[in-house]
Amino acid sequence: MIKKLLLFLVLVFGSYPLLAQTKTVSGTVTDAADGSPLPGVNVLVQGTTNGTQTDFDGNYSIDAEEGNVLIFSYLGMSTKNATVGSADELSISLDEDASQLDEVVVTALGVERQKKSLTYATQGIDAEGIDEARPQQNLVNSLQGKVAGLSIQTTGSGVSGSSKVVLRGNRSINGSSQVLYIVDGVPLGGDISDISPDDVASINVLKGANAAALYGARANNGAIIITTKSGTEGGMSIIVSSTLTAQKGNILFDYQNEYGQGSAGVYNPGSTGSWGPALDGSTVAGWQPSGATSYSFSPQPNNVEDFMQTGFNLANNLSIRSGNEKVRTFFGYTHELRNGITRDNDLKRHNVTFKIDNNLIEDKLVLSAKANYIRTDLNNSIASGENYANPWRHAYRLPRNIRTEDAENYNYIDAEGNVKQNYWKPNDNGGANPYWTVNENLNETMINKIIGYASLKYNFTDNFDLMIRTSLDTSSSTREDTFSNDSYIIADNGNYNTYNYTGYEWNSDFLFGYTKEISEDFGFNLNFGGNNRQTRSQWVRTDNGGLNAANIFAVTNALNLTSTQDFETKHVNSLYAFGQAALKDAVFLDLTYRSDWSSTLPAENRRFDYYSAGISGVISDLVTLPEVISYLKLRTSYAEVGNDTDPYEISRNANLVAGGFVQLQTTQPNESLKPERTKSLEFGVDARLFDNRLGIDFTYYKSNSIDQLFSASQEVATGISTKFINGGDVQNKGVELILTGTPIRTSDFNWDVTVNYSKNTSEVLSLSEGLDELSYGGDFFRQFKLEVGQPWGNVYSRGFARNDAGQVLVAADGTPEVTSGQDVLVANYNPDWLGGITNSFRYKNLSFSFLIDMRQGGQVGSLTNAILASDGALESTLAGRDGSLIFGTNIFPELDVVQADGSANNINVNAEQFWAKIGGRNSPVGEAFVEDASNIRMREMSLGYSLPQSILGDGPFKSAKISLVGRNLFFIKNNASFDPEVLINTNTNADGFESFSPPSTSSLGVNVKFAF
Amino acid sequence: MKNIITKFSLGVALAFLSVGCTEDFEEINTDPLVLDIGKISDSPVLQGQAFAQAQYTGVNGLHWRFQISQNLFADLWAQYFATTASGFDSDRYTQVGRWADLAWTSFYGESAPQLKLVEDLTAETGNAVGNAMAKIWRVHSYHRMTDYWGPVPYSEFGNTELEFIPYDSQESMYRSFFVTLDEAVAQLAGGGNSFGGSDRVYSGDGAKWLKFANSLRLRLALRVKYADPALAKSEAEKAVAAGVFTDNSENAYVSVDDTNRNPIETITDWGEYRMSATMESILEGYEDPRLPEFFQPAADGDSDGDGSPYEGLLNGQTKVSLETSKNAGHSDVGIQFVDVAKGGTNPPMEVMNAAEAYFLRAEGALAGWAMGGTAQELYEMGIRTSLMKETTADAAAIDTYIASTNTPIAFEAGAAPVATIPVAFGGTDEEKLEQIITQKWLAIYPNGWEAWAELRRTGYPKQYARVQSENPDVAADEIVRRMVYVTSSFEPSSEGVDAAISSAELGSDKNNIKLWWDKK
Repeated sequence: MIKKLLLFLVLVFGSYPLLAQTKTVSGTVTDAADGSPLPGVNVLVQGTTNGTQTDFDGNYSIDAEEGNVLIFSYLGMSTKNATVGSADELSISLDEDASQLDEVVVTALGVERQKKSLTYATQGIDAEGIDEARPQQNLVNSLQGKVAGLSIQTTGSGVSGSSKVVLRGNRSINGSSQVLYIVDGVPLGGDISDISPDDVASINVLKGANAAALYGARANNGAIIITTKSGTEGGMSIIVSSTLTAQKGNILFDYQNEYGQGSAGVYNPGSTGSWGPALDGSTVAGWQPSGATSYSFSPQPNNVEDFMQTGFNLANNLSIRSGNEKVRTFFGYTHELRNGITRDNDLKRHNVTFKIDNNLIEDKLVLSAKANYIRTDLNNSIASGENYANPWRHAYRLPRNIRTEDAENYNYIDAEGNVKQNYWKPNDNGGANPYWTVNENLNETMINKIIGYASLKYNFTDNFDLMIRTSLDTSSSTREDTFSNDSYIIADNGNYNTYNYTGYEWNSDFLFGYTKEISEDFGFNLNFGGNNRQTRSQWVRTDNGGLNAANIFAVTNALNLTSTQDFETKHVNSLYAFGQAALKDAVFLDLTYRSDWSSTLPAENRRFDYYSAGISGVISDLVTLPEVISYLKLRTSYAEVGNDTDPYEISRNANLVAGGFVQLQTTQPNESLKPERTKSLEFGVDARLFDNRLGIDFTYYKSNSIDQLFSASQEVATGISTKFINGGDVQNKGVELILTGTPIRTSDFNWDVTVNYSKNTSEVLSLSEGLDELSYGGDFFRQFKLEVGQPWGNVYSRGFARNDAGQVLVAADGTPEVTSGQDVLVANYNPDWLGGITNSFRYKNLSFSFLIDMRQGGQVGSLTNAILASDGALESTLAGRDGSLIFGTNIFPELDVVQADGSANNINVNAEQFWAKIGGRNSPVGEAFVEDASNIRMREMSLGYSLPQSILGDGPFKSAKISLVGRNLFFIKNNASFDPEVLINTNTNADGFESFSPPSTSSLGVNVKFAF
Repeated sequence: MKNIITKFSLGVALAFLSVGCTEDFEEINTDPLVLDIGKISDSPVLQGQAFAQAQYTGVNGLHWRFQISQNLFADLWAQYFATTASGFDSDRYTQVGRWADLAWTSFYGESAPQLKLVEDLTAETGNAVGNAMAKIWRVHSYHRMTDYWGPVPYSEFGNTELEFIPYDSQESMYRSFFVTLDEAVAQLAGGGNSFGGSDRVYSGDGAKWLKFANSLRLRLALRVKYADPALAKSEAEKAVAAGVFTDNSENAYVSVDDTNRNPIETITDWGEYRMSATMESILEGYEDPRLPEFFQPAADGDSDGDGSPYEGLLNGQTKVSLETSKNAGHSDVGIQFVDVAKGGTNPPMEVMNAAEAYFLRAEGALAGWAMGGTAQELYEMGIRTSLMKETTADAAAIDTYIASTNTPIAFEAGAAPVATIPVAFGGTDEEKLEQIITQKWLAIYPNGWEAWAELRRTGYPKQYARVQSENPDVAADEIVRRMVYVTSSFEPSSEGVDAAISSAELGSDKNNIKLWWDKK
């Protein structure tokens, strides 16, 4: 199928027309109101990226062909089109725009709509520049700080990594609360981490169920709609662009630099902690098991930082857009090289896109097709969290006296000729020299991915059409992990693991559309469509369980080979109808209805239906408003969407375990599962004031996700550990506000500001009968809990034990009394509000913009800090090493600490004992290691200069631009000793927990772009 | 080109014929990689494989499960080993909740359900022999659970109709164990075979299971000796009369394979425990031939200058002292238990051996019960059987050992020997009891689960006090009497466990509460 499609594409691409004659068109653009020249007006040849801007005097010149349409656009002015005639001069005047919101946006199912007719909240993102200030890991990170109501947290996986992307709060207990991604109408099985920013034409965020209702079962979390670039009519434009950025990691932990390895003030070269003597430069025995040499015991304040390198990204892109009235094609190729700040963590990617739109029968039949092939080679992706193979777990724990030059010699040859690890505490289970880990615990991943579609659109009449489309997102990947001998892991002579995955999501759709204008004042459209979705994934993993011959990484060299396998498939069929009626082009009514049939649900509940309804009115078009209000629109909508579940949840089976075991599954299935439902109500106002200088987009929403499908833990003595149930009501309500303004608009200087703000309040209204809390995601540090009557996502850990009066208790030895279980609420990650401010300035051909991203409120617990504290590596552990700590007085002075008999605490304790009690890995007191997640950061900065036409002249370039770009440059404010927006993974329960994530990075680079 | 378009359109149209068609949905939603439960009831072979899973997990087969449920608790508290990992608080008497939690959930989640399934299915299908095996294994599994915690869910396990699962008192459990064994023994009277090779203990041999049932009855009888002496006597005598283990060929093991290994083989590699000081004192003092089988010389050799390269570590080392690795200075477990790649043998997991049966009989004989021999005869047979199993010592060497007046020695200069009893049987009845239990402690090594239970019941073998206890309820020179209940026993309903805690058997949920049978 794919082969045929590709062949077909080549055929069509081959019938490419000869280029028409081009000439240089020039002219002046003026303000129709006063005739003054307008500088900075964008001039674009329609359907191309061939564009320029008017200069200080309103003059422009551009290469175009006769018959081409030039588009003149300028903020606050109506966009005008003009056709190039035989004359070489084309001057034009622009009118002020009363309702610039007439922009067209891409909504669900790829339907293009006028923004003013929408009855729900969407937010379009200016795609211009995202190929310049490129995100480090994942395209979606480009949206950080730009979209009201959108929370993006990255995972600390170095050059690659998924992001946790949530709109309007978390809602799904068992499933995902993450958005659905649609690229050119193709719903992706995964995310958009490997989509090339160079291919992106526009991004639109459908904020909630209301906007995404047509996606049915997957609409409850909202959607991000990406439209990629297409070919254009009239000639060819070639863009070549190149971006080089450098990254620096930011270590934020507060290390001490006064004491080195050892315990109780005594030096011990085999210690993993820094509780030894003062770093006074005296000569001490070396730690090397290979034969210790003495060295100077002195502070090594940079030994953690030294572990990083400067990362760099190089992205090169070539795109060719071309076409004529009949055929339009787009070709894009992006090559990326990323070298992370962690050694040998690198990525190579080739991303090739072909897109074609062919008018097979003029005005009747259009064929469109796209194939996007992405090949990614990823080396040494970083294990997350407390995993022993995570080099950062070992780097952060470097004792304060270990010299980089010593640690870098991570191996030696022992007497028997074996390569051994040079580590200060040899064979310590879970310990490692980080330089060993990064050099000897390696992995390689290769991913092949194809995203494509083919569609036909047939116009029966001018107002009746049919679209049929089939689309595919398929990928396969292989991964190998190698662990050299003497890695302290659960395997002998080293280990070798393999992982093979294939999966796809295949969608086929049809959609009938009928549009009718009954009179000038009344029109409607009706649509009817269907979708068949098939997903399938399978993987096989092997684990050698050690090696027979050391360091030979082959399955046949396995000591104790085990393999695991997974297979999942699911089909969903859907039928839907939607329509819109417009009265006087000012009042709009939206209705949708959809039925899904899911293979994952029991036969009697297999079908589930839902609907949405919305109404909007452009008040400013209906009544005369005070002059200060240029535009006012009110909108409201209500939607119900459903959700099915994962495959195989309705019958209980037994697993076959290698070695001849049969094991009952421990989850009790539910034979009468009902689909989940999310009910969502929203209300919004769009307004433009002061001559369109100030825009306001306000939305209030409330959503309830009910009848959720999740597994609740059971008393294990019932013979089942979890039971799959239907229940729960998770409510999210909040407001979103987007302000757009133009504080200064003069002929040579322009300043635009966009502010977005969102506040979401979540509450778990109910879980299930008799169940008032649900806890999952437990580890040594914390439990992630949902509790009735509480906001989503409370994090519980151990706390300081308290008496009935709420006073904290101290033990007889002076250390804190600690609760025995993880039963103290210590954190909730959800922010009070999120915000972002973008400022854009333009002076002649120079543009400058920066984005400040804000998160206020929420907390994160840090396992890293708990472990570093018990290691004595943190500055907070300096006090009281002589035994002079008094809990509640000179350590945690904010606490009211009493002894068991109620008297004030006056017991001395030394710091080592104190931090050993509350820190460490196995039973840390989370209450002591929680930090404020509020932060303000310079998320994005970009300075661009477009070469003026006068310089480009008759040279080969139509345009040339150079930009200086920076991302995540610095914190304006950050209370935590780490980046609170980096997660260990994207799981529901990962919020509010930090554990050995690689340092977050700041990047700075340069982008050059030429158009031919 | 038109042809291609036609074909393409046709293809898409065909794809749509399936919209609304849900006939194959049931098949699509059937996991091809797993077994339909209905198939198990039809197949004795699959029942045998489910039984095998209950056996392997019933002794905490998987390495990390074994570590967190047994090795980090019972094995350290019975002082077979001392931990060398600074973060392992359990050797300082802290019951690390999360580990204990997995001990609980892995039994109730992974072992008990298969066991119940097999017992129910064999009853339904009239497989009396298989049903008897399942019953015996049930008694074995649950006596271990109640010996750890006290009251636990037992008689109502698997009842999903109830609001909560009530906990059975330990007393009622032990009383019913004997009844269950009666039933099993009756079902096995005619011998027979069930499950064949899937049965990891005796390859389905009903006669061998019968003898195991009797031996298990003997173990349980002695366990209740101080709580109900009359019951103990009658059950012990019944067991011996019916025939208990007398030869190592009858020992019960759960067999292992390359995939499902003896967990000690794996966890030893992690270097987190070494021989205890108590072990060194006793084995070295007795010049015990089992010493080189049970442990290896320390990598650093004779570091304390006592003339022997075998070095034990005092239990309950402080976190700070363990910051310096103790591994090289102390003895790792015997070579048979280490990783296969390092010379280990991946031995089967021992459930019960003949030497234990002899020592149980010796204790009964000491109390004047009819055990088929005198206490001394049975004590000596126990030692003999153990040495024959563990060593290559010839009869003369064994006789020498049995007659030896050697006593435990100081594990390091300046320390006292851990005990004063010799190998040779004699002294007061209490001293004889100490000898019996101390030798049993050696003979069942490394079964720490059983050794800790007997330590609590009898107070033997005597132990060195720990360096440190972090548990306010249990001093460093005392022993932990039970596990406190784990988080998952309180969730989602705590009614069952609350009733157990407030019951007369416990009164409160602490590590120093004595269990019902702990009455000496």
